[in-house]
Amino acid sequence: MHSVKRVRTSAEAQAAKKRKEAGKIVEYKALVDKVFTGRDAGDLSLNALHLTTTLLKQNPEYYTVWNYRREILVSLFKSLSTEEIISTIESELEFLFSRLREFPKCYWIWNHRKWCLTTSPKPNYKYELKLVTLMLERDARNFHGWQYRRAVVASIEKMMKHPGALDKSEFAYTTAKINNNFSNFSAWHNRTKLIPRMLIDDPDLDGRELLKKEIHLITQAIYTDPDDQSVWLYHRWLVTSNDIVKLSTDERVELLHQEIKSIDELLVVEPDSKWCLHSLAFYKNFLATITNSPVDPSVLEYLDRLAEIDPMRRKRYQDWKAQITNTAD
Amino acid sequence: MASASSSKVPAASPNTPPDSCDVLVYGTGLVESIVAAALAWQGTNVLHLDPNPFYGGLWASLNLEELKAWTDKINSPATNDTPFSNAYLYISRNLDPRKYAIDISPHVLFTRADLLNLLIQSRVSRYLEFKPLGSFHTFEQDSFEKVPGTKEDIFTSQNLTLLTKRSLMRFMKFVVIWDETPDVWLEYKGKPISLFLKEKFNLDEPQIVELVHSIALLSSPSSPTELALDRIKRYLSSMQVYGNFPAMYSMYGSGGEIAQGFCRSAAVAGAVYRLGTKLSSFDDESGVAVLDNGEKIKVTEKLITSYGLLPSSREITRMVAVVEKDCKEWFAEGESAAIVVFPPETLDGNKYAVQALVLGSGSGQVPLGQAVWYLSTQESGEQGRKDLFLALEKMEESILRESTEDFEFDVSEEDIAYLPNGMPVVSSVRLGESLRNFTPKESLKYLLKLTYTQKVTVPPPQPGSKTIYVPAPSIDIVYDGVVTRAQAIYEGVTGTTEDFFEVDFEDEDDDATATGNPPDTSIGDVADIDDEELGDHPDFDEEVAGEMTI
Amino acid sequence: MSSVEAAASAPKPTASVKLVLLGEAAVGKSSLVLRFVSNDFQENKEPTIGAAFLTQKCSLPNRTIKFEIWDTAGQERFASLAPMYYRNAQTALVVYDLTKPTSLIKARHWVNELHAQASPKIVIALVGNKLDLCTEGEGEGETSTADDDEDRRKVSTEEGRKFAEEEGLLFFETSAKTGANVRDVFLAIASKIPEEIINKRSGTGTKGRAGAGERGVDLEPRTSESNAQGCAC
Repeated sequence: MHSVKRVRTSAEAQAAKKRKEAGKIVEYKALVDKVFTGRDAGDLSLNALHLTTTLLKQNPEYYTVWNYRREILVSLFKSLSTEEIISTIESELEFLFSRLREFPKCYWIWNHRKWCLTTSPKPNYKYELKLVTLMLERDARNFHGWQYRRAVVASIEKMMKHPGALDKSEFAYTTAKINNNFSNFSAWHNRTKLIPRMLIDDPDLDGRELLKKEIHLITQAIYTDPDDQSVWLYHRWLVTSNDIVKLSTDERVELLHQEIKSIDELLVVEPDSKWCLHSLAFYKNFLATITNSPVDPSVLEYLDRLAEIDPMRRKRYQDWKAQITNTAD
Repeated sequence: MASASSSKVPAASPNTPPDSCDVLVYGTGLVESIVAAALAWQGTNVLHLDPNPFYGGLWASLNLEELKAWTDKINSPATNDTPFSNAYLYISRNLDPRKYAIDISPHVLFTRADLLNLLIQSRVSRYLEFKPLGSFHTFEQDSFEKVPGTKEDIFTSQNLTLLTKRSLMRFMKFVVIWDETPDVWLEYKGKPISLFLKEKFNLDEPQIVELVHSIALLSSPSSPTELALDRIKRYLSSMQVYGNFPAMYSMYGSGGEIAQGFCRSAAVAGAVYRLGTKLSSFDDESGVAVLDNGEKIKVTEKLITSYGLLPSSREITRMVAVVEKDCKEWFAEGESAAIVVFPPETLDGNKYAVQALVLGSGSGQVPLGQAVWYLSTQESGEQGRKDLFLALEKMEESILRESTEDFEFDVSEEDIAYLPNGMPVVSSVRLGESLRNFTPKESLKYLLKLTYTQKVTVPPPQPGSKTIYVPAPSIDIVYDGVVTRAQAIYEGVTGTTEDFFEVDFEDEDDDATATGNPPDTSIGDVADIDDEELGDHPDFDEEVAGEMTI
Repeated sequence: MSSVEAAASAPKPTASVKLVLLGEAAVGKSSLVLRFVSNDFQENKEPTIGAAFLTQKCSLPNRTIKFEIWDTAGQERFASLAPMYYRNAQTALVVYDLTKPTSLIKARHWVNELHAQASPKIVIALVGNKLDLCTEGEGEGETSTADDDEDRRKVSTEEGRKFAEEEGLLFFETSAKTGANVRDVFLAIASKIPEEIINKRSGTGTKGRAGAGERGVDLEPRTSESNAQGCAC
């Protein structure tokens, strides 16, 4: 056998990498010093802006630097025409987009973007909607994105002087996102905001039909993944909220019975499901409250089992149990 | 710069062929190309030959002229030193031969696979273009049902009851960590997977069939439990690695393309390449190889060859059809490929499953408006051909039904589901029902039809010999075992697998940003978002534009 | 655009372009690339480069072109270049040696190969290399490194230019040794690439992205293994 030959020795390569990184750290520290020195001295010049750009590219979390940057921009705007301000903000938005690509979950970038929109004499909200659609395509669970989307939609509706104009399409959007991955608290949460408004705005929408469909939908989710908290929270809202349909007590009771039965069936195949037990306890308790009748004894069993399965919250379940037994006395 | 120079095969001048080498590799198929590259990077002098004028050997992707020549060759026992035989070929006239790349041994790659890891580690992936494959269908009750592979598929399915959804999900959660929970399956080791699924997870026949044949891609429901679980796990855990699909295929051909990539890698590391060069003989004692033009080459270590008649255990049957239809009805959004499986007993009593791989023009294998269908079965002889032709018929019926234009049926709100981007689609169940009773007016135009048989070969162990045989391409549609086989051969040459592709490449980080994080190129551009993707918004353009004061 | 805007603006768009090298052995293909990429020249270099491909950027007025330069890795020696080599190449350099007429004949062969195997819209530059060995160079103010009475030029500029014109190729005479005209070749190629080819982003390269129509899979950052970046919100 001939000798084995490597193309390069790894020790050399690693040492070179380390030296490179050490150099970068020294550079960064020097930059931070420069920026803050300028700020303390009240430097609101173009050069100061350049420095914040460089620094923020490396570290967008540095929120005080974003503040400083806004101070500089506001000062620079004083000497610009409206047209120039608009186009400067457009460039600022381009810069922010490139930052978002690298740091999609950095609050301060989204925040600065919002500032740009509210500061610009001619904000383009349609573009913003497209942008946030793009970001949510990349990560549907980015709650910064969802928050921003709500803000953009609200601004659009304000400009149209028509609150709720986008409700239906936003609702369809949450449906699409949920079908893609229903483990998405923000998407369900958005629905809870949209449904009541939709029902108020459109008298032709049948609230009961909609409720029925939503229950059907969430049940699919619950059976598919009973461990997903977000779907149970939505279920609870559907079953107990008065903001969808004003159900009569009888109707509410019927709904509760129906859902209790459904969850019971699930419990049979998933006897240790924390959320099944929790929800059954809650709904049976709720049922007792609205019918002014004693709490079903099975609830106490559920709470006992919950205390076993979820020992970290044992105290809470015991308190709840105590509450029930005390009221019964 | 890499010291590729010191591993170059010695030659009098750049254009004189070398007259000696450490390892002679004969055949540019996938397995031996990986070996050639691994050896070259490790410093071995590799001379890599192939009698054909193209790369890929038994894994090649051929244009139509090459395909014709190839079928002639394998039909003649005198010239055939491959495991392929019995080719029946029809090619329509007036096709531009260069616009086609037909795989004689098609394969797909799961995103969690040895070969993919190797492609990335060796950087050969940078020579290749991969496309997603997320549509797996099972043929059941005369229609093609898409296999649920993710939580979302199960959630949105209109065909499954709530309890079935729960059972399936419970199984899926188990199977992704099956090897860590032996208490669940150990008693079923070696026993049929169908038994395990039924008894341990309460799954029904339709789900079992899908899991075994379309997800595990196995031919028989009596396949051993542990094998099936491993393959099911591989499918499921391959989801979400790069997106909503578990598998991929390389553009312009499968094994042949990837082999080209490894050959290039080997060349960069100093291996010498000669296509169209036939090996006449090799003397195991002296290590002298004689080419058919009389040249003699001294091989100091080993000859690695994929040609030669090897003992075989059985035969399988393959079919290729090129159709004048784009087949997009079978593809998921943004994809150009699909897999269709016909389980046992669904084609007039077929004993083995028939697997079909459908590639559209997006694969680079056929021109726009066409698609290539690759079918295979473990059945042999006339029965094998019969099974494949039946499957072909079913596929033909299906694509004609689904792609016809003048077809109307009632659609209500319940039939509509939404794609991830918000676009509405009609429920496939409803579609399936209505389409079942439809008779197509037109017939499908076939531009190419090819059937052939492939032997499953068993390379004989040759201890002490200078010759190492490379096994033929697997009959599996996945690349399983390729890396293991390559490593075994590598070990046969160097005595170890420790330095197999242990290469330090120069780092190219000009794409990295100041933070060292690569920019997220997967985000795309805002301009990519069509107005339609925003949903059915009221026209707020007019009203939103205009001045707004702070 | 005011300087305030310039300060805040994003960088010029970059387009990736694949460039393939062709030409007989020892004409200096690798040296040309080495000169372009690292502004270096090594005497008696081995006839192949050890890297998979080299990259270098070229700045045009409104965009940056990043060349992914594919070396033949010696596979052209015995007519064994793989189809993969030509695939999706938007540009090509066909190099010959000004001091070797046979290399120009070979260059014709490579141009024919390109017409047969490569994309019809490929931008090709014919490059006569080793200008330093010729007494009267085409470049500005070049001092020949050859002895004044030893002009080793065997292929006239006219001949090269004529061939280039016949085939619709760009034409340059260069010296990888002195650097004469090297950068010009790449700049000219970059400028000639049609817009629509750039916008298709159809080069293979460091990211293994893919062709027309549907998006290909970017293999290297793997979702399930990548770390969350930025803030831990």
